Amino acid sequence: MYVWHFHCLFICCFNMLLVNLNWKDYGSAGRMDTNDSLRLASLWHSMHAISQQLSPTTGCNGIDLLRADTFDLHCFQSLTGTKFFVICEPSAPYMELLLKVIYELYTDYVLKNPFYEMEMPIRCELFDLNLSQVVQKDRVALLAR
Amino acid sequence: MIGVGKPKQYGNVLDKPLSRGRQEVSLSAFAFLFSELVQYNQTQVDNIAELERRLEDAGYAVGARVLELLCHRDKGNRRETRLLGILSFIHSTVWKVLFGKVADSLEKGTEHEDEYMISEKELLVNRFISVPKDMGAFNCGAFVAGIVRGVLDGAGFPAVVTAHFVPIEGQQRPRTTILIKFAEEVLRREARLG
Repeated sequence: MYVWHFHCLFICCFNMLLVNLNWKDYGSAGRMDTNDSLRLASLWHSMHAISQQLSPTTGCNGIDLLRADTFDLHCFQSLTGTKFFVICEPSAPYMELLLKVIYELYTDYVLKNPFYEMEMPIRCELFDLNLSQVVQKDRVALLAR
Repeated sequence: MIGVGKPKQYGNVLDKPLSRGRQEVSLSAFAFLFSELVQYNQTQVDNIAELERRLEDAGYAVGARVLELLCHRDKGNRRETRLLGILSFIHSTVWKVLFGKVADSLEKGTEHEDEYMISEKELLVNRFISVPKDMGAFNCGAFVAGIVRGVLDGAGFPAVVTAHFVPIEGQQRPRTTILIKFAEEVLRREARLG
């Protein structure tokens, strides 16, 4: 599928109804262009939906974590069906927490912004600012250990 | 005993004391409401200047009422007659009641005699708002400028009030300044009062 180098962090959020994609690259390697990201998101969206049906346990809400040799993919689904996923190094800690924080930033700086139209790409300065702050803080905290 | 613990019945609703009301309102609730206000006005206008004027008018209504309420509740029905008095009233009391803190600073303009500025690092109403680049210098703080204009007009100090972004070196987000330009008659009266 996709091969990622280490120190790669890729954050994406998309909605179930339209494959509306907003993505941010925070890695030092492995940049993706628009088409690749769209492909990735559509693929993930379908897999997430299919996994809900295929799951042997009842009450499954879809894939939370995908582990591969060179990367991990954590996914968080809000109550409305909007999915946030982050692609990171294998066994990077606190990704679940990061996703929850990103969801909070989304509800604050995107949904409360009167100039954001629903289902459009996110172009909110405050969201970008706070998102990079959260990611940088995270990385510094992890590297410091 | 009969009657103990029974709340006092007021014959006329106007005799009831003005309660302080709920001191706190959910910030998220206000943010969503304000966002809807801006979006609604955006659909009604053709250009940005109109949008700013509409937000100011909405704020004007709030300002007029806030002045009446605060004069009665917090100042014991005294009214301000001096310029500095009304400005510090806005800077501290009005700001405290509306936004929970006093404004960051109150300054007199250096270039013109009739200009005063209230600055704030970030207005509460702008906390979650990112204005897109194609809207230029539009500031949703026009709502707050309208509030200030409403208070000043009601108190007898007609003025033109606008909100501006002032970029500051070393900070990513610009400060907001509410610029107050008083009418001629206010300055003349102030000079006469000595």
